Amino acid sequence: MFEELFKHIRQKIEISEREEEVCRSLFIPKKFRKRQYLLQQGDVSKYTAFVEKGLLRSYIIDDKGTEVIMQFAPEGWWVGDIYSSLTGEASEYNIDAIEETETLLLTNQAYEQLLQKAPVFERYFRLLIQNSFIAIQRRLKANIVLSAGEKYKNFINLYPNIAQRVPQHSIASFLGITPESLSRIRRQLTNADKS
Amino acid sequence: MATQRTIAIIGACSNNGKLASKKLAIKKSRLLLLDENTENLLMLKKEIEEDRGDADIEIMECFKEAGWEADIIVLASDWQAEKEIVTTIKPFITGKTVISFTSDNKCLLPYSKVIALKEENKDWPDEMEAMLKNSF
Repeated sequence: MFEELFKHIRQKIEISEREEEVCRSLFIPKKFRKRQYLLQQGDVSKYTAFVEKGLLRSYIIDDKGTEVIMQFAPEGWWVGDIYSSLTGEASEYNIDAIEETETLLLTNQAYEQLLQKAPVFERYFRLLIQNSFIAIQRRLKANIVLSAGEKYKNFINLYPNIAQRVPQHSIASFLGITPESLSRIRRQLTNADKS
Repeated sequence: MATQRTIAIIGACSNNGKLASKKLAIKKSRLLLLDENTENLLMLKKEIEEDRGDADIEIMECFKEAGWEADIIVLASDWQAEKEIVTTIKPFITGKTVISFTSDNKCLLPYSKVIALKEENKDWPDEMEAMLKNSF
């Protein structure tokens, strides 16, 4: 149940058995069914989730009622709405399960306790926030300057095994392009590979 | 909007289990009912559904799976059976709210939020409902 999390942590910091135990006493194991919500727009976010197995997505609904996917969270990813968690304001995000998903949830309170009981996690979370900052910068840049084709290649690099797990329209929604454009780009890439 | 909460009721066909199930079968909750006696479970499910059309009720067999999925766990089996169940589900209910009719579970489940109710107190279903409102 904690395999992925400990693997993820150990890629960044060293932890002892005692620190593993602290994690086991603070993370909430929670299994989601397909399409079940972790967070719904209008609610205050209580948890940040680490995905052990399965796939979550976070999305917003725009003025026209269209779903815009902000993030996919497969195994080994964190997902949540930090803004809502920290401020206590209602979230603009929805987070739900694309597949049956096993998560480990961390409340704000448990997060603070974790840092207090095992300060080495300060480093772990600093590295996470650093990476997340870089990811956001990249996504911002991609949206402003990259062509649809380049955005798609970026997506495949970022999420190597997601393209087979989600419907095409979800990928198009993540990239901010129409499903028709995505289909054209994929055709072009396949043809380029062949020649 | 409020995200649906999942409540596992273990020992749903005991007196306490039935009272708890009926009280908690409200909109925005998914009930997972568990008991040794499947026939009684089916009867209870039907009874609640007839009373409340919008209830989301499911019968489950595996304690571990139910505990893993639930946000709230009601322990209403008899005490001998319960000890064993509690040991099985313990790793899956860290940080979750547990409704119990014995305070012994507080020692057995140090990482869960155990609320011990007294069944002699006939108002316990209302008390439970009020406490869950605050904790969720």
